[in-house]
Amino acid sequence: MASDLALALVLSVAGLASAGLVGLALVALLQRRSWSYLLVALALLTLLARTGVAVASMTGSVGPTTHHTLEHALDVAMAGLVIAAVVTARSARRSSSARGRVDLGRQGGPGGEDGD
Amino acid sequence: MTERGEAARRRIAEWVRADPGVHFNALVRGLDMAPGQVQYHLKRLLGDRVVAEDCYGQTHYYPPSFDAWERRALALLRRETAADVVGVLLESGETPATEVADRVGIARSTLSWHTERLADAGLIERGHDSRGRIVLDLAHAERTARLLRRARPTLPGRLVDRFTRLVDSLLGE
Repeated sequence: MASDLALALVLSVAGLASAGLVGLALVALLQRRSWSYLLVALALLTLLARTGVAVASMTGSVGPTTHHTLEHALDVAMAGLVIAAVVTARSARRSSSARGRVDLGRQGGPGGEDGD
Repeated sequence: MTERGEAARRRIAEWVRADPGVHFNALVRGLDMAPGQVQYHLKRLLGDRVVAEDCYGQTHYYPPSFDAWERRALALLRRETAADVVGVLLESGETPATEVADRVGIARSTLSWHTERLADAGLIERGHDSRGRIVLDLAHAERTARLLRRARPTLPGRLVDRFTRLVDSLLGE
């Protein structure tokens, strides 16, 4: 009984904290509109989904085996999304710096081609 | 009824004067009034004693003494990182972009996102120095300094700003 109460408390805190993080990530995504920010937001969403799965398991709508599999599948999803965000950030940066050089060239600034 | 309404409108107008560029939600929280009430009174104040401006997806409220340049500038200066960038330029004048990023402690991607908006709004100018490096400078240093003193970042705004700084520095550089 006491452990149920502790679990409910932990899940409430986890749910609130991860919902707050997802909210921040969504506002940041709206500002930046980039693949990296979308992937980071989705990665943080898996954290919120973990709490959702735990609540579903507590109320009995998900069995213990399914719960276990789902939680680990969400871990895989989170790791995959963060890796994808890192990979995308590098390629996005390269393409934007290439675009930057073109823009600078057009402005006709001195040394625009070899600017850092 | 009308006297109470006028008192409420006076409070709203005074709040906007003290915190130009305030958002609707912050106005509701600060005045401790119902959102519907604030909306009703704002509608009657608009154009005359309060000016509304949509900047980057949010409505900000200003006293009518603020012109279009100042309204847009203030909305940007309420962002902590943008204010830090402007602070460096106020201190040192024309500065290479890489040095600004280092001194503020942000990734280059964070700096370029903010400088793009600051340049669009006419706050900063981008150019090149003799070595071909990108340099930044303020377009109107004195006006900007005056506005910077009045810009107050909100707590949610600050959190989003720091979140993007963190993500950029983790993924970038």
